[in-house]
Amino acid sequence: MSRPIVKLQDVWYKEIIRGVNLEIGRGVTVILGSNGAGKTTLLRLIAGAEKPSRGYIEAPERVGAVWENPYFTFYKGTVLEEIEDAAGSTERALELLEKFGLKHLAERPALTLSLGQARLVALLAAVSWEPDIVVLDEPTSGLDPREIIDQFNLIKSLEIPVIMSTHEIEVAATVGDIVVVLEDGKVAGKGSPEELPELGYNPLVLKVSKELGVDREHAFKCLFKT
Amino acid sequence: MPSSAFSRPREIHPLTALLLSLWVVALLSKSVYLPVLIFGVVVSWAARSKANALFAVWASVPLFLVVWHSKGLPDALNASLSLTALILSIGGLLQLVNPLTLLQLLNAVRVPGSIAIIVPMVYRYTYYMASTIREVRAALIGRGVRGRFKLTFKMPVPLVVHAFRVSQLAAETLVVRSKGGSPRLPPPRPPGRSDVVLVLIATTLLVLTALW
Repeated sequence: MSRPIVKLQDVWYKEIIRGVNLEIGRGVTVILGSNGAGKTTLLRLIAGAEKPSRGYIEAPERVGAVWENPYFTFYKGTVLEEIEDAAGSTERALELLEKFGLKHLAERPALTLSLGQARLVALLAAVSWEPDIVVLDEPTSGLDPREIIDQFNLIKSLEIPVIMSTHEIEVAATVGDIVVVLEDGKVAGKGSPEELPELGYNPLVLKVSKELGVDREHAFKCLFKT
Repeated sequence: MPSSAFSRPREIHPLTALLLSLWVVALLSKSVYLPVLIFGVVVSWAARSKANALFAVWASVPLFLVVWHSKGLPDALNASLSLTALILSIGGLLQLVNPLTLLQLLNAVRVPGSIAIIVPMVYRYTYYMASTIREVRAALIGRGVRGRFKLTFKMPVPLVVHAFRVSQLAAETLVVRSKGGSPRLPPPRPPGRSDVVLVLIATTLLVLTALW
């Protein structure tokens, strides 16, 4: 891996994150885990929105972020005004809207956008002030297939490192260059989607394995009858 | 680590909360700040309410500055200490009351339905909005808004919009739930031995303070 952009050393946060050691480099890194695994908390720690109770985090100072509710990002008015405020000039805002195919939304009030459109605009606002990395919390949740594709295209076209969370294996496999499996606040595995064996990064298998106290192979067989 | 011991919900009876609140007010009216402050810290800790502590600081600092400017340092310290203690104690006590239990109690003493439902809703929403403030703050920082003043001036728009949306949703939910009659509440939890002990302690404290 190239030089890490984000480094976590034995990071603890309350009882949610438990001794995470992780190095994250360029490209799209996906934090994959079931609900309650600690994905959002890990992203908040990386973004500096929370301080770890123990351990050390090395991350760039300028971190762009889009959290679960994209509407919290908007305060200016129209989409153009939102992007203009973040990018610093109208020309740059128009250029970005054009580049990412969102120019048709420019005059729409940002707070009236659909969830999918709001996520796209919030993401554009989060990257247009030129942060060093961007973190995205469940960027595909609640979106229809068309909006998910738009979201993927936008994420893939970003030139800065992206760290995003999801509980959907398909999303992680499609968009991720590196997948980090988070289980019960700990890193259970890390690698490219192809490198990770299916049963190793399936959050459902991990959950069933943990709750029934059986090994992962057995849980996988129970779930998928192979 | 034994997580279950910490995640267990804590709850006190509304009567205990009321008596202890009266005790807090009685102590403050006699200018006794320190015990109330310690009590407030303990109660807020028991309620695991960081928002309560933040709210207390946010409310007390401007008061301290205004009173310091107009009346001097001793009065400013008294006023801000008193307000901090009051917010920490009453806020913490309210956080420890189950809103449903409070609603049942208010219904039982024949408080009109609309008022009975407003009381638990108002105090729960206060803390809900406090957590929303943190989320909005994180969202604005994520899009490059930097500096305390900028954040303070830009937060009201998403916050107010969100508050309207949430209140509309809550109103719609209430209408749907209460269609064809008043919402059905589960039977109230019978008071346990610990409730009785706490009510007795609170009553004793209140009486002793009143007589003092």
